[in-house]
Parts: sequence; structure tokens; C-alpha cells
Amino acid sequence: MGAAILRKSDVMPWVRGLLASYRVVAPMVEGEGTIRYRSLTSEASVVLDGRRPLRSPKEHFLPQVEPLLTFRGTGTALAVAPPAKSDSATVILGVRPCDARALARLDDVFLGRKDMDSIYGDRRKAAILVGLACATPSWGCFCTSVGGSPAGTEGLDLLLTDFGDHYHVAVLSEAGRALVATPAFGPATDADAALAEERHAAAIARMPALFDAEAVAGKVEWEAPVWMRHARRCLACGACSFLCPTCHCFDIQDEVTAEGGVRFRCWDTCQFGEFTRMGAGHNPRPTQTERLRQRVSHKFKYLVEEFGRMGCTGCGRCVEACPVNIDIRSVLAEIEGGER
Amino acid sequence: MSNLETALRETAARLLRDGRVALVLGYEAGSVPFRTAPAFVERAEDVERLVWNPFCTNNLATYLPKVKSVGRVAIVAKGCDARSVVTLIQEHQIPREQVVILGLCCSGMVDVERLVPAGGSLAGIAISTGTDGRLTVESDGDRRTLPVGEILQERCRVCEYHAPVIADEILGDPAGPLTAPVEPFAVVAEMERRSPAERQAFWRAQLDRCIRCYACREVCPACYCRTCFVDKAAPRWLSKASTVDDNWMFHAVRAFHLAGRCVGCGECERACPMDIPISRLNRLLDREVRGRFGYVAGLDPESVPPLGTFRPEDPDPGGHEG
Repeated sequence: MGAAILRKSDVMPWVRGLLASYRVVAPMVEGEGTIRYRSLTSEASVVLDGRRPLRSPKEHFLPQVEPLLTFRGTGTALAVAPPAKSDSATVILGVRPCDARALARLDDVFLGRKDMDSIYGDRRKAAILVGLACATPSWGCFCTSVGGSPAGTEGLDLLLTDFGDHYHVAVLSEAGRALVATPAFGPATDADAALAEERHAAAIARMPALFDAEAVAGKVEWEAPVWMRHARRCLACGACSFLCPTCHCFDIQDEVTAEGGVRFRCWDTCQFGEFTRMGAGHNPRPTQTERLRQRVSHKFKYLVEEFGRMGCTGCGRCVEACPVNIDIRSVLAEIEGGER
Repeated sequence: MSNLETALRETAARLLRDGRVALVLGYEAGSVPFRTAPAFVERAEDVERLVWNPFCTNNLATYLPKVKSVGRVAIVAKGCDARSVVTLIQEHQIPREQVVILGLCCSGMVDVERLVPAGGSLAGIAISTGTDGRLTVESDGDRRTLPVGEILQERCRVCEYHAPVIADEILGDPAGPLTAPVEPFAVVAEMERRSPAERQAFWRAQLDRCIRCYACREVCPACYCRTCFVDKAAPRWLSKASTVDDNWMFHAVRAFHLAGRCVGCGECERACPMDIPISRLNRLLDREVRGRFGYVAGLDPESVPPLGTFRPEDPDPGGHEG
């Protein structure tokens, strides 16, 4: 759908212009170099070219904590109020291709079934995603092993490719075209397009596929030693799930005071023992072996069976975050290789 | 390094072959050159899996209460890890006679972020460990030689007990070439120079990032409570909403619970996926306990942690005189 050129010195003037019509979310640096996607408040801290942000932009569609309703009073005087609307038009900058694909996987779950999640859906409809092609993989990255690419475009409206002092901007949707219709963007030539492809090919070449993800789906078994082999050292923290751009399980809690209360949902994870513990104390997933099996099977078997697409886009955050080096790439390679 | 690795494997094989232990907790090669993984070795013929190098960062003592049902366990323990074993013995989480401590004299673990220049990627990196305390690192077509002592983790730069204070077998030279520790409480003093408002702003900004994954708690050998207060669900003690205030409550209670028990292994901070410098709280309380009670955690299995007992002469921090 065409392409444009954006000088890096024109990025902030362009973003300032966007703020007139949109909420803008961008990778921002905090404290001692931590990068997170935040609503733009101080433009000085926007870092488009920095390392992959700690978390994906998932939290802007599925916040870790989100009120579903509030209530006041009791009995027949109970007054229930819906949550504030969350559909303000939003531009998210610097979205990595893996994270954009991950949102498409979340769409399967929240919008692809008979009952749709309207809160999530409102936010998705209101969002425009400006991607950034990855030039250098982080050490846990494996997008090319799960059907993705460091320059993938699925789910994106624009894709920026770093050309040093400027970006090549591929236009991928009508919403993206509207964003580049400002004087900040110049025309891109055929030579620019060729250079972008060259850069993308170089990034892909750095990331040979480590396993055949299609083959893995058919080989995920219920009873297999691979689960225990890796789960034995699992400490049951939730770092893998809470950093994952496709993990989406949540709990619903009511918090009540004498005057009223709030019902909210919050992220939860199959890695916590409490996740499946029943009211009477029974736990159908009593150890980390069952819990690790659940996490891997959900992503690489159950979602594939339901939607034809796996629930992993190879962002590698779980690999890098695991304090005991449970590397999902190794788990999958062993499953593919028939090492039960 | 490789001599120590050989000695470690021989010792582990002997313990398993002689039936002295049912399990050796150690380190094995990880999925990438700069990580090792906790290893559970149960047969003498499997000891070749065990490694010892400057990437053996995990504190394996955290597994002891979980694996003790298998029988007697041997554990590969660095100086910090051995202090954790001492606290577990003190607190009756494992009997002394049920654990065989393979004490490794440690010259510090590498901060993997410092293996590559700032902004560099660890992807595709190759590392070889020399016998002279140097690493040869190849990445992005570049080859560098890095002295381990210059790229240590912060917790190792301030380490006071490189050699295990308790061990059944000592591997390595307890008086090995060690750099003098950096003042361990300098970071606490630096925090104290800030005003209360600045400190509060600092911690609120840090804890705003907390996602309550509980990696800090799960890697901690001293966090062995069967049910942590945050997991009490009927009634719920702490909201599952991870607001700054609730996050602060979790971390403050955890820090207090670790006062006089934390050995400063720093695993909580290493494990934090959100880069929160959480061990500063523990270090402050470590300094307070040393100052008030003259007690250093994890040195003597026969002693009683000061906050686990009462003595009439104990200081009264509340300031109530006589």
C-alpha cells in the first residue's frame, strides 16, 4: 500500500501532532533504563530504537487489573455502574512484529468465539499499531520458529525500518495511510524499498528456525516425561505468563466495603498453585509438572485445535525472564524431536 | 575452573555411588552459554552433567525443603548459598544430617549484561572459560577477553563470604584470589541521603512496575512458608489488584519477614523480570539487625535468629525506656 520516509528528527513533531487526535502509547525509558509502553506524557523519554520493552503492549488492551463494574448500597437499593468506557482512539508506537501478531492471537480468544469481550474489543477497534522491524534479535527471540518474522506485518498499520537517521515506513492499512498524510513524511523510492527488504532479510538470517512449530502441535502428549524433566526445577512463579504477550487468563474478584464495592478482573496464571485449587481444597493440577504441561499445551495444542493458530509468537520474554532457565524453545525442540 | 568441575563431579559420583546421598543438587549447562540450569542428579553415571563456571548463579538452597523427602541430599553451595543452608537448618526446614554441603569457593558470578557492550545483544554469543579467570566472548563478529572479576554481579562485588561458612566437602581454595568487597551497605546509605519524600517517590515508581509474579519470593530460600500471606484466599489478606499500595504491602511484609534471615544472595533482584532493585530493602534490614543485635544471618547453625527469640537485653526500637 505504499511507503514513506520519516526523518528521526521529525518523529517527535509528528507525535506531537498525533496527540491532538489520539492517545499515544510509546516505549518509554524509566529509572535505570527500563523500557515500558506508557501513555505519552513526557516526550523526552520515548525510545523507539531501544531494546525490546519488558512487556508487550498487551496491557493496553488487557490491563493487569480492570474494573468490570462498581456497586453501591445493598439489597433492593443496590446500584450497579458499568466501568468507564475505554475506546479512546489510540496510536501505539514501536510495536514489535511478534507483539502485533500476539494481539491477533488475543483477538481469536476475546473476539473469535460466540461471546465477545466488548471491553477488549472496544480498545482493539480504537487502536492503530505502528510497528518497528527488529534489526537485532534479543537472546530469547524465536519468532521465525513459530511462523513469524522480525519484519512481520500481521496486525500492523505501519511498519518502520531503521535506516540510521531516518525510517522507512511501509503503509499497511487505510488507518496507517491516514497517519502518514502529514508533511513530516517524505516519499520513499524503489531503492528505499529494496534497502528495507535487504535489512529485513539480514534480520531474518540472524534467526534460523529452531524447530518446526507445525510439527510440534501434533506431538504434544498428555503423559510424557518432557513435562517433569523441565518442571522439576520450576519454582512456580508467574514471570513467564505475566510477560507473555498472548497469555490471557484472568481471575475475577469482588472487593466489598460497607458502602459498596468493585468487581474487577486481574491477570492470573496456570503456573500458580492457587489457579486451579478448588474451594474444598482439591487441586486437579497438583504439581508444576501438570502446570507446565498446561502452559505449553494451551499454546501449542489447544489453541491450534480451536483456532488453527498457536498461542505463541516467539517474543522470547519467557525465555529471558525464567529464573531457572526453563527455555520453551528447548521444550518444543524436544517434543518435535520425539524426546518424550 | 575446569579442575574444580572435575573435582565436583568426582565428589558427586562418590557420594551417589556410596549411597551417601539420594540426590545431588547442582548446576548443568543451560540453554544458552551464559546461563546454567539447576540440575537434579540421582545416578553416579549422570555426574558428567554437572558444571561449575561463573554462570552458576542460582541459589539452590531454595530447592532443599522441596526435595528433602527423597532422603539425604548433597547440594552444591557457593558462599551465599551455604549461608542459606545454615538458615534452613536453624529454622528446622532440613536436619543438618540430611544435607551434604559441597562448598564451592566462589570468586563471583558474571553479570550477563556486561558480557556485551551497552546496547549489544547476547543472541548468538559464544563464550569459553579460561583457567585464568578470564572469559573469551565472541559476538557480532567481535572477540573480547574479559576478566571475570571485572564483570561481576553487584551482589558478588559486595560479597563478604565467598568461601562457604559451612561445608562437608570444600572445593577450591578458601583463600583464593578475591578482590576486597565493596562496602555492602553503601547503597543503603545512598538511599538514606535522600529525603523521605524522594525515597517514597523512588519506591512508588519502582513498585508501580511490580507485576506480582512472585519470582522474588519463589527463588528465595528463606521464603518457604507453605502458604504466603498474599495467597490467603478465605478471607483474602491482600488484594489481587496489583496497585502500587498493594505491591508495597507485599514487598514491605516480605522484607520484614526476612529481617535477620536474609543472607543477601540477591536472587530476588536477579529474578525480578521488571528490574526492581528489591534487595535494597533486605540490605537495609540486614544492616539494622547487625547494628541492633550484633547478628549476621546464616553463619552459625547453632545460633538462634534474633527475631526468632526474645532476650531481656534486646534493644527496643520503639524507644520505650525502662
